[in-house]
Amino acid sequence: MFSERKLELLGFVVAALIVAALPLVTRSNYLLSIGVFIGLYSMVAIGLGLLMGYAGQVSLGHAAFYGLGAYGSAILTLHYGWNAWLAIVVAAFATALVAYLIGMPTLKLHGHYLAMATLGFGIIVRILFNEGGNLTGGPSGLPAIADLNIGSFVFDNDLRIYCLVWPLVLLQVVLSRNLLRSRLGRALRAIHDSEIAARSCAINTGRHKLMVFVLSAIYASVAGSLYAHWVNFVNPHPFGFVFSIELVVMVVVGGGATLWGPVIGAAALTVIDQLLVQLGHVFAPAKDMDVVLFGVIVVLVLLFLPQGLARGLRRKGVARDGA
Amino acid sequence: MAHDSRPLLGVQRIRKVFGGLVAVDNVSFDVHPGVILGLIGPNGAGKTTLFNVITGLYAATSGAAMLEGRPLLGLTQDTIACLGVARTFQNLQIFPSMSVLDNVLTGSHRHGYSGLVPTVLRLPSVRAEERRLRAQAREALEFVGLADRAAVPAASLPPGQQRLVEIARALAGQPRLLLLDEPAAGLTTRETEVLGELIQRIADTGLTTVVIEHDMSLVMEVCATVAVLDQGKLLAVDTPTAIQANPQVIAAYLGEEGQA
Ligand SMILES: Nc1ncnc2c1ncn2[C@@H]1O[C@H](COP(=O)(O)OP(=O)(O)O)[C@@H](O)[C@H]1O
Ligand SMILES: [Mg+2]
Repeated sequence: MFSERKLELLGFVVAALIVAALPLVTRSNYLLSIGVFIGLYSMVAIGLGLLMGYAGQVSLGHAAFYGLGAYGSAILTLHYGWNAWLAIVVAAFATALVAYLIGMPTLKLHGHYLAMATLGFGIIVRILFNEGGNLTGGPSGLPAIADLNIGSFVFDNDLRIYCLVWPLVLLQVVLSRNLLRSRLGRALRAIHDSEIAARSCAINTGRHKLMVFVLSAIYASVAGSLYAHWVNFVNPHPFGFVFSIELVVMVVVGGGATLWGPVIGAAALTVIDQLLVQLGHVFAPAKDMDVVLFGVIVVLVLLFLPQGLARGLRRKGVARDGA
Repeated sequence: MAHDSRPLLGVQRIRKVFGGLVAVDNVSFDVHPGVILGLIGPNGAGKTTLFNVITGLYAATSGAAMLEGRPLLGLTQDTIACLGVARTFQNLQIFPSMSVLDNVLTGSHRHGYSGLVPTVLRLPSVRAEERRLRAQAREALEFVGLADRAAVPAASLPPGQQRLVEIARALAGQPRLLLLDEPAAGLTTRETEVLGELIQRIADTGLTTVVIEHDMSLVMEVCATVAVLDQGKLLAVDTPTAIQANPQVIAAYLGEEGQA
């Protein structure tokens, strides 16, 4: 029987090995780009998982935070000639401020006001991207966003971006683990279990929810910035309501209240999405099946693995150990 | 019953109305430092409501509650808890997804200060704080006799031990005032005896405590002072022996439950 701590370490080592293995077994840009997408979505989903799994709140506007990071980086580097790394950091701070302003009034209230506020916010941001004139490039977006670089090393292909994004994902998992094993993490779990009892333990529930919400917005913003510098181009299309929902589905499928659930969910959804795209080449209607299929998957997961794939699989593993 | 000291908790004409129902009706009493006060009364008398008002869960219709002269009413629940008012709940409110130790550690939340950034980076200051809180929590667990169950999921314990987890969680915050809401509810006779002894030991530490209890023998045994509520009104505040002889109290109990 493994101790909790060893299991955690084992999980981390296995994940790191899988991450390291992909570029070793393939140099296909297609597969590597899928790897990058999974990494970027994981970055967003990890934050959203903390919000949904521990703070017990749903955001229906995380695509907008991702978009603010992407557009923030694009605008600051293209229009103002900023250093790309500085632009990423400043865009993340600005996004954090926006999240703070949305979360502050809504998270004090009981109930799912955050979901409604972020839903509206997501729609507004999408409109702003579309109608932003020269600043955002309107519906056609902003092209020619520069690659990231460290000195003369330029992150100009999928492999290099992969090697930038995935260490960040692993770092996020370590940070989440540190958070959850601390006083603040216990406070979050307490809020999830019983808000009344949490408050009787001197926990300011609204402030803790706000903290997680802002953190999740920062994660989304950084992922969006990396996306913009990777594809060198942004337009409003990827940052709409559908992507917000897909992010929520990733968390639900993988399991929010687990370290790896959001990563597993991001991987599962991205792979399924790509399979449908491939299938769409031979069987045209398959292309439009993704929304339906995602709906079916969510229902099945909620029915059979209500805590998500990560916890569900682990429970089965533990049961086998015990037998 | 003369006290020179300033009361630790002053309940001053607290009134709480739900719609047309007066749940707590102009109740006033003082709890002096180090005293353990028993709050008794038939079901629906307003005991839990009074706790809920003092701890900020419900807004009072009128009245005041003072902790060492500082007004509590109007403050949020977490602020009141932060000032050192700890409580347990009549219907158990443990954190079911957490281990026994983590439950109790959560009770010491008010003694930690680390912010988000130091926490996610697990800086040495955070580790030191964690060690300090763990020591506090272990002490509380030992005090209630659950040290050997620290790693067990709290939800897997029998209800009697879950009560002890709640008490340990309240103690881990090293409160100035402890409010226990029917800690013996649902316990076996044997467990109730152990609980009585535990409350006695809490009293011996000098922690000011108010305990709501139905079990009369337990109240008479451990409480120096007893306050009786009936239909929201305070009938009497006196020593246990005087309370047992008080005709109004006897009438209230015989009328409602046919027991004394
Ligand atoms: N949240 C509430 N809303 C409406 N009525 C309530 C609420 N809480 C308690 N009451 C009523 O107030 C009265 C006192 O209840 P309570 O304080 O729980 O009594 P006790 O703890 O003494 O048994 C009861 O009549 C109860 O129904
Ligand atoms: Mg009650």
